[in-house]
Amino acid sequence: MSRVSLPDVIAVVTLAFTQTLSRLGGACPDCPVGRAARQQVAEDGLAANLLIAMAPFVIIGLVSLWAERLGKTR
Amino acid sequence: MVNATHRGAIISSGILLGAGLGGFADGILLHQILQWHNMLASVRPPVDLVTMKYNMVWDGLFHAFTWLMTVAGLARLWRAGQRPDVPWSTPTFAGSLAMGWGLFNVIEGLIDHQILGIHHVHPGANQLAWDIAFLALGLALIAIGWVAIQSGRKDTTPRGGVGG
Repeated sequence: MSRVSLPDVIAVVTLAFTQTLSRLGGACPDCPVGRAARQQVAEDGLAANLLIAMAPFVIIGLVSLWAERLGKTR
Repeated sequence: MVNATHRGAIISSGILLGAGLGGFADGILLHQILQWHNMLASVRPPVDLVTMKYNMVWDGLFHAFTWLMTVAGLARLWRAGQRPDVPWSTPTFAGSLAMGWGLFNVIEGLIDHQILGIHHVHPGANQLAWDIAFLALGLALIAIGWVAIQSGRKDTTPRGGVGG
């Protein structure tokens, strides 16, 4: 059975640690991943998606205006 | 003392605030803490860092609209509190909050889950059941809100007259 030497273990742990750090460093405001995400947002039906995200709130806003008028002093 | 009967102002503010707070409950609990879904999870499933960040942007925009709704509700409530003809009724306001949250669940559920299918409450084998439960919770909140608002009909005391 082959034995794993201590320097090998240290090398693997160090490599894993530095790789993890570099991955964490990738989730940044201006990095390839961030730029790719923003590009997808901009090119992937931005206006339509905005309308979809906004729609429930616009409808509820109209309902609240209707409720305001409905409850006026008679 | 003025007979305050303009309930619409407080109902309107309660609906806006309830919808805002309901939206925050959805975003914070279901999107972030439990991570059941993201805003466009069915359009671009978050399977890698780019698509996760893509969905985070849309979750952020969803929260921005929710925040605006809450601010609008606060502004309306502030204005309502300055008027002598608006009754400062706890059942009316609490009922309006419940109704706003319920309206959020029903309208967002119908548009995003049922009609467009851009995400589902809990994607997977029983996603339709989860979506229907979300709508049912919304309808229940609307019904509770309606009953509470009706129970506050007789409250006609303006803000300055509450609590002695």
